[in-house]
Amino acid sequence: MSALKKLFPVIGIALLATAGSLFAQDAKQIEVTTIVKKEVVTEHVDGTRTTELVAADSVVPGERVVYTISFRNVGAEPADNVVITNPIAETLKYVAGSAAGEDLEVEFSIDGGVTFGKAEALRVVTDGIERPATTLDYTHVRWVMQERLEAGSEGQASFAAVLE
Amino acid sequence: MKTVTNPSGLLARLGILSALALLAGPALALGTDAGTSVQNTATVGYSVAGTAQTPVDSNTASFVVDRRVDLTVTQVGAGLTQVTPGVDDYFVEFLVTNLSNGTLDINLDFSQLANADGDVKGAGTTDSDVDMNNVEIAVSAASDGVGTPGTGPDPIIGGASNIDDLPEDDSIRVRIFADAPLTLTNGQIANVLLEATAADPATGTNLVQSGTWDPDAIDNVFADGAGFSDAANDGIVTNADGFETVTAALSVTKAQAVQSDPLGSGLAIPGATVRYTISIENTGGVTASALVITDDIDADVTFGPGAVVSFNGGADTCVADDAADTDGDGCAWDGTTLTIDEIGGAAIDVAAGSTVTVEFDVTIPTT
Repeated sequence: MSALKKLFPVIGIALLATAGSLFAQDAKQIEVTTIVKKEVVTEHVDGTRTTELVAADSVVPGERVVYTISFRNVGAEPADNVVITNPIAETLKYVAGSAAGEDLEVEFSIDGGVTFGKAEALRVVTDGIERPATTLDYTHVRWVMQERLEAGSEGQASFAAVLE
Repeated sequence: MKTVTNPSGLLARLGILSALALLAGPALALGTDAGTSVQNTATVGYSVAGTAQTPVDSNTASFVVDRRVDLTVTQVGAGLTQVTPGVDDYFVEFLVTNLSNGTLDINLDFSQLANADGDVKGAGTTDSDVDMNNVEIAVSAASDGVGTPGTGPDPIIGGASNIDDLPEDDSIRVRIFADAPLTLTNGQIANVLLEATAADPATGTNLVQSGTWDPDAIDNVFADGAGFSDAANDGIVTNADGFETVTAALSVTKAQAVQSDPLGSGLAIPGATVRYTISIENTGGVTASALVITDDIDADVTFGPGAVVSFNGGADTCVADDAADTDGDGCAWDGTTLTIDEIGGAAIDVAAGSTVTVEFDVTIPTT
């Protein structure tokens, strides 16, 4: 039930987001950049594996990419209620458990970003049969910052996905 | 129909969700098409002093999906194609499948394998290193359609010799036709190789694995397996199949034995009767049909007209009457040559592995 309670305030915010005129027209206080890298796993002769991130210059179906979103409070005031939202492209399949970020709580949407919930709380009904949502159902991932973002502070959120 | 709900059963209040969920679409089964640009933009929402601020978008991080080049060539049908010497237009068939994430042209080449390449199919057979005649390739006029391999039109001689615009996950039938030389003998095998090379669907030129990678362009990444005589990840796949000669092989032997003589000596002396036995054995793989047996009988012995010829130990007989075989029993005698074209009123067929015997007697004149 706790997941439910979370859903309602989220919907409220989503509706607000569609009405841009309601926002204060301040100069933006937060800078955000996204980079994409390809994850390359090298298996060594001794059986150990090394994972490295390389430029996403060559990506074919089945390969894994990692998105890293860096954000920084460039304003003079602390920022509250920081939420980083990232749509998952239709051609990508989110890698379970990959979303990460310090002091960030990870939630997912299975309805195009209208509502969000914890992975275990999301459920899908297909042909009348209810089942837990899988990573294939995710349309968005978001990170909800648990602390305020002080002026001059920065953070990072990341997730991995497989190109289908 | 895919709808979304949540654990509390508040679907009614969130009814809009079911409509939105349709936009998500099913997972792609065929692999993202080469050339698709995958873009990502993150958005950060925040508030300052209790007031929500305009969300901030990040830059867009993007890459273009590259072409994962993969194709297969598989044999169609088990076993070698059986051929009869002297007969034309035999074929072996292959299925060429595009497993890439995009349409491919596929250039085809074919050759006859040498002895060193060994048997391709058929346990216990021997590669006799024979070549077929007039080897040529034919591609089906249309691909099979995804999910229905092998259902395209029959490839016919004179069709295309390369594959144009084969969609991803689709396959197409390819045949290598050949004529069987008259010189082939039973059991000989002729193997042929089909080589399929991935090519650019726009230009038809063979693809080359990209040496440098461009995030904003379609690069070629070879991901094909090793074929009959090619390495993995080379953009080329080979496979082989073969033709096996199945024909009759007749061996004919003729024996003679003295049946009786005036002196009881057992020797071929004047007045003796000599029995000839002709054995015709088929050591080949199929029935030898409509045999005509001729035997020139030495003028120094006496035979016919009216001599009786016995088949298979007396199971059937005929009479060597005259050159025209007037009595119609299959045995003719023109005074020099005995000609037999029927046994028991039927054409002479010798099944694989069986033997027909022909026996007749001659006498050695006393004068």
